Amino acid sequence: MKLSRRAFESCIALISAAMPCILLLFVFDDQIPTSGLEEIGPRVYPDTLAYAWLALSLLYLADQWTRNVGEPVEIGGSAVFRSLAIIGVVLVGFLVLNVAGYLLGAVFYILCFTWMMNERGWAALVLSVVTPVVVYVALEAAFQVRLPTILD
Amino acid sequence: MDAVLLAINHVFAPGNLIFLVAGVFGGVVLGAIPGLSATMAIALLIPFTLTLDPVASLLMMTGAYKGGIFGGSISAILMRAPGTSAAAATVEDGQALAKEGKGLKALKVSLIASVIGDTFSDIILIISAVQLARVALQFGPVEYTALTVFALTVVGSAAGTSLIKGLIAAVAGLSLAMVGLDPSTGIPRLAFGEIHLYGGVSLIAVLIGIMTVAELLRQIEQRREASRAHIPPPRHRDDSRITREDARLMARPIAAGSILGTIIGVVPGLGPTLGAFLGYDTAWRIARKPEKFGKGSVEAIAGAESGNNAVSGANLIPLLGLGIPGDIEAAILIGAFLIQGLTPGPLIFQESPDVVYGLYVGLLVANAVLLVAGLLAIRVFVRLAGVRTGLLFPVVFVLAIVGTYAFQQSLFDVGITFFFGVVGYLMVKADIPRTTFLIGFILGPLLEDNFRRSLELSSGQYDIFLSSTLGNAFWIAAILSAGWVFYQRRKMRRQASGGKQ
Repeated sequence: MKLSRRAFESCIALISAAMPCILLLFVFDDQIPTSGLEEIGPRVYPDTLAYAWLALSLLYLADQWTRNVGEPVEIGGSAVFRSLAIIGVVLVGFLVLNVAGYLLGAVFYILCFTWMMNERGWAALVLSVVTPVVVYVALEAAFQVRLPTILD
Repeated sequence: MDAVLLAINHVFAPGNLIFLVAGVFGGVVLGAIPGLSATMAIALLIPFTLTLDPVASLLMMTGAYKGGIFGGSISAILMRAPGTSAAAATVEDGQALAKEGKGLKALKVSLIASVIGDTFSDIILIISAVQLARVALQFGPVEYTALTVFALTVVGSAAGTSLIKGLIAAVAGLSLAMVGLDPSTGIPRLAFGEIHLYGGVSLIAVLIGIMTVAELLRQIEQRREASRAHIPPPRHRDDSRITREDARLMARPIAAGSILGTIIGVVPGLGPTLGAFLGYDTAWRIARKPEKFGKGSVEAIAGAESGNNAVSGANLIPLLGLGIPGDIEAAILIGAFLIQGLTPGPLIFQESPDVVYGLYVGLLVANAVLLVAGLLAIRVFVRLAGVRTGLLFPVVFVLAIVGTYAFQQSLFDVGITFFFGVVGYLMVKADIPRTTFLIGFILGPLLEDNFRRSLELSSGQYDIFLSSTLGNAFWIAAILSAGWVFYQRRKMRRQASGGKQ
């Protein structure tokens, strides 16, 4: 599916504009505490930034609608699938890191990413096992940092 | 004088010298591999330098930075794949020379031009940073607020393809920097009850996520095939060395590139890529053999590489003198200063002169190390540059995780790194400059502190921001630079659409 550049950039501008709106409407009230003693209110600076962010986003949106340049953007197909797969690997790997520790997490990442980069032979397999172990031992020996493992 | 002697002693201490040499070698190798860069090298190094003393840590990182910029030209000349964007200007002429069997000559020209350009800008840094710091000591909060906004505007204008997107990224970075303790109340804000965020979002985690993890994800997506680098055999003895005629041709482009690169490096945001292209363009204008440009010109490589490398020393002038990073590498170096408990800026000359002078001496020694290492081990670097990236990138990814974890031994920080890795990856897809976001994040506390102090001085009256002549000069400069970039881009678009029609 092809999306016009104007529509694509407008989506970016709208997402960008939504963020300061969320901050101003739902976050700042709860998350910026006040002691009541300060001379300048604690929301002056955050509000200034949020309004600047909103103004710039709207300016960008307006800029997109006053002209129409650029190639259309291809949405969908294998490129998007590949992007989602990469993000998926990062998320699943983080879960493995938390549940099963560094060694298994690192093996998972190396195996997945070497496979995605078309390295599917013995070299990748050996690397995925040897590298995490070498890094684990080297880090402990050189910096006295012990990475979390499944035994912790 | 005592501080200078102490610094020389410090730099030449065997341990520190080893870190410097390791930084240079590591930087050249990483810079030479297409897809990796000097920026990634120094971002990855930061957490591992925590246990080193400040001078050793900065030596290692400046060595990696200098080595990385030169390394970019190895893949540009031999593989037609610039390891860094700044090396793109070298591609055409470097490749043409390599095809004629003069690859080694091209690499040597690049090395010597890089070292001379770098040394020149380091000398300018040594002379001028302390003078700038003296001026900056007179700045009040109003001037600093205006200066920070000016720096962000210039960085935002120069990065990416859209000025407004650059500014949005800067404001987003500034907003992220608000997470943590509120400077006025000392109470955590925007931390959502998460104790790990009470001290703010970890700079190292954001840095590695945005710069390293995001870049690796992009490379993995592109499934970059390994490129073989090899030096084609020379046909004649002079093909692999710099002759007297070459040296004569190189002199003027190197001088021009060094001066231009230094000027560009002083202005925040312009960066080594512009230095390289301006160096190339100027070399063409003053060349003795302009007809050879694009077909294997020694003058072209000398101009581009000296312009490219001269930016690196000059970049540290605003960093040390004002506390404002000139580009992404300087921003990462700020991270290195901060984790060592040092705050770059005018006061550093009074508070830690040993570190500043150590850095100065280290920069000059790093150039000498780069020259010697380059001349002696260029064939080794070339061989390493051809490593299979499909195997290397996943390993670097794991090193990024380990680096983030090692810094505070926190899996929460690893999560932050992944989060910003994905955010950075999406920013690349949306063409939003990551550099500006990161510099905004780093400058956030400085801007907030000065913004608040200005308002406190005026009891909340905003007109105080227009009360200082110097401050007003920075505001006008910010508006002019943004306006200039806006006008230039519009003109380019018109020309492009006219060309299509």
